[in-house]
Amino acid sequence: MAQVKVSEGEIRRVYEKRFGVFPVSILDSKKFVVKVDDTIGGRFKKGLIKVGVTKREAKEFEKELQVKGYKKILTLPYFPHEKEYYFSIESFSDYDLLRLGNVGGVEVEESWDKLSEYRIPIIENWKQDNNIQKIFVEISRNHLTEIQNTNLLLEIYDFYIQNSFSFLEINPFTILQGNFIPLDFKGRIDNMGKSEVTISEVNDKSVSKEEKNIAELDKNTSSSLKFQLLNKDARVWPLIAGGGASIVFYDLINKKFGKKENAFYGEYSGNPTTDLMYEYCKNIFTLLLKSNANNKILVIAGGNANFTYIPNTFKGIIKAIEEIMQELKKQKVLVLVRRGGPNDTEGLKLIKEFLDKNQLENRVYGMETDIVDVFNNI
Amino acid sequence: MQKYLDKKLIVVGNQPEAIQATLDFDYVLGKEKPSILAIIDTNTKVKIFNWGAENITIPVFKNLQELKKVISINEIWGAINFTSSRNVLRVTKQLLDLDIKNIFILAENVAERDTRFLRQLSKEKNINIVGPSSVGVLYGGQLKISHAGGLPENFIREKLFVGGEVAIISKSGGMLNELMSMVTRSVGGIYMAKAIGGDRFPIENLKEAVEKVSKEEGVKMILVLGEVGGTQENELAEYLQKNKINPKVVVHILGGGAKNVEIQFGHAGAMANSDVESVEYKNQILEKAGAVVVKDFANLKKALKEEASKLEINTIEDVTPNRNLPDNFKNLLRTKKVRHTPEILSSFDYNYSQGAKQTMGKILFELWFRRKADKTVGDFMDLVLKTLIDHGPEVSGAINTIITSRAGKDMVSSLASGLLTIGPRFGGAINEAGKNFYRCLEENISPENFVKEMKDKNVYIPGIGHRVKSKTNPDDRVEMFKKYAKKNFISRKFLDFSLNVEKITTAKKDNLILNVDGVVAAIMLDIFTGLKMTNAEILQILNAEGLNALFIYARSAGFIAHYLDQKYLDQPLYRHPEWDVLKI
Repeated sequence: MAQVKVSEGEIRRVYEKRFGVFPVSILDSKKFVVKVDDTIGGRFKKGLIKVGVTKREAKEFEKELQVKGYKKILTLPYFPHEKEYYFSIESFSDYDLLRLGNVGGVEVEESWDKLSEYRIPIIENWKQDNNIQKIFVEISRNHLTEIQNTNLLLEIYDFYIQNSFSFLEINPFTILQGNFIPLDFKGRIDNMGKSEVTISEVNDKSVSKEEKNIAELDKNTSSSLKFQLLNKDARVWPLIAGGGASIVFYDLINKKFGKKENAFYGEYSGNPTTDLMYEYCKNIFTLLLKSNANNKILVIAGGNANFTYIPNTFKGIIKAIEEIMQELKKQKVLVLVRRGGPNDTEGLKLIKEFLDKNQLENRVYGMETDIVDVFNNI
Repeated sequence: MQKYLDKKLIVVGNQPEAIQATLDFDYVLGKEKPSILAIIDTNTKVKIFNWGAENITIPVFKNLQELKKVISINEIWGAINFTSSRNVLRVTKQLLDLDIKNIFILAENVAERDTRFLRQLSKEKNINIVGPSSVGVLYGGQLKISHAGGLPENFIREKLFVGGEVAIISKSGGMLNELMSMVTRSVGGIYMAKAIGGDRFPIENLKEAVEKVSKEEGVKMILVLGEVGGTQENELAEYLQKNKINPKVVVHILGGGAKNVEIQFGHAGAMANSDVESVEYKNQILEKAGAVVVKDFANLKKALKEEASKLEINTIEDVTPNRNLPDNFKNLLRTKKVRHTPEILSSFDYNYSQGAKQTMGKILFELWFRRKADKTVGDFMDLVLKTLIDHGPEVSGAINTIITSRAGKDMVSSLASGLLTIGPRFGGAINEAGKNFYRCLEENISPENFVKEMKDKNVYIPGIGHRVKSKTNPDDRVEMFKKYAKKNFISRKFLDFSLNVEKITTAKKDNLILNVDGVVAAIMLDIFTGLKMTNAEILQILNAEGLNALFIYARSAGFIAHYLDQKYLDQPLYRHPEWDVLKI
């Protein structure tokens, strides 16, 4: 449901499938470029890239990176070149913006104003559109005249659309013997559109089992279940309903308790079933119990829902709490509840009675209490 | 001021709760007629809804072409598009072709390219499209479009049936009701509350939504809830910088705490890709453009109140709606506020996931006879069911099935026609035999007396006798069951009794042996007794014809096979030969 960063290796794979690989033999290159294939920025500064190394040096660097925990490493032939160029496409609300220029690589950061910009309007059958045809004719007349394939940029734009990119940057690229040689790719795709480019899991090793479980649940439902662990030993564990309210609480907890005490960002919405809620909570509670913090707080909250049926989601939460009741009591976890929406009175009564019966310390609020007052006197 | 009161909507897609909530809002306001004219959906021609305590119907059309034949497009002010992300582009294009002036798209997860394309079309045709991922729009005291404003419990409690001078425009749908409550509880009435959707590129963006509502008469304040990510707030700032608008704009932008952390929040657009998309930057330029920027959500209510008092916006007085809604029966029942005696009682509870791990015989024994069966019992049931599946095409039930199938009828009819022959003469003897044996042992009737009694009544003994098999040429199915019972079951008094009856009858005639029906009945009774069922429980089963379930269930499979066999062989209509009928 959003724009997602994709790795260079993935973009390159799909790009080369369409445009072919430039024959290295022509250059007889014996040197290589080795880089960590990840979506993280500033790889150069972090020392995650080496350029122009021998085969043996490349192998050594690969090993070095593997030891550091990087799983995906890209080793490419090194093309000695003089000139570097910049090219990118980015989607905006009303147009796609093409940027290109003679300054490539990191230098582009200081030379944005030297780039030429072209706006491509959003038209369903764009290939048949005269205006767009004209724009590309103009581009190929003004730029990169040394490239043999005069249609190349138009084809890359088609590649951009076919793969639902929201942003694609080829920086730098160079031109050798009339051939377009992309030296680096960066990109984001709209993961709701069709694409051959697959979304790689970022920083595989740092993603917890629980996050993976919840991502899997989220994938298989029309409801939304999000969970991103931020601090495993935090004090505040917020089960928040709704995309907007979850940001409100994120801000609120950071302000009240400090960023380090905010255990995770998450949200559930779209009327998830009782069973889904149970599974969602079970994963989060596993981590909550493991947290080393004192005076832990479980927040069960949300705004005033439009159509999520409150008692059903609460029943799922209650079922998951029941399973860890003894442990919650032992750790003296405080439960804070604040919620509005369809059948909220019934839902709040349900959870209040449940918490009281089990002697879990709690505060339960409805619409009469503002979101911001939930943490008062804590 | 009341220009939305009489606007009429159509709905594409199936969302009965949202439609009902709109009708409830209409009713509470005292409208003569509902604001929803028609629904586009499949399967039915009308749908029933509540109108106060009454019921009304709303016409349903299969597509917009059908609708156009009946309803004049001029009557339609807006269309709510509930279709899924895959269908949004197609359906919205159709609505645009009809020139419906306001379209609301609720679907989430619409591809950005589809949305951006629709945005261009909406501009070309000058049509307002709200969404995707909107929860709708509410015009306070006038019109409720889709989920905005929630259900009656909410819009009555939060006084959304009252109009007002505050407009709300929110990226977040979930926070829309929350903000409405904040405003109606402590600031004043709502003029309009709109969720533009949390996507990165909504069709109607923040700036356009603010611009449109600012031009409406009677709006004194606009509350804008923005988010980290995207540049919509920046466009709004630019607009406010260049244009003076009448209403005061109060803004809070969510996600300020996400600085230097890479989080993709729940909304598609809520992630900062660059500094200009950060909350700090947005706050700064909006403030510069003259908006009241509230940096901390905790201060939002206070800021709204302050601005409201400057603008002389009055808080809502203690008001009640024009009309009250009757309580919803299902809600009352669920919360135990009314009582009711159900018409249907059931003690039947089948757990299919457990069932999947067991044998059919075991499952059926437990379902039919309400006792846990061990493996020997389950396997006996399986054995019986397997042997009873078929007894050739000549028997009456199979003949009926075959004839019906050949008459061109369907599976259920053919099967039913076969099943209808099961009774006292065909297949129904298991339960009868069981009843007799049970009575004899209960009342201490000896096998001799039992046989005599039956002879005196001049009736066949159910479970005794076979057309061809005899004492010297035994039925191997019966032998198999007897062997199984002797090996596995300790309690065998019914089997012994039935064999004693057989001794007497076979002495009279060689083919009056204990047949399949009889032996199954006797062994089933032995099983019941072995499980320590009470007399009452056993009688209950016998009186309900419970033992016949084995035959009916198993033979159904056989009848289906005969039905299919006839279809596969493509047999024509059956006509019995005339020479085979004697006319007297």
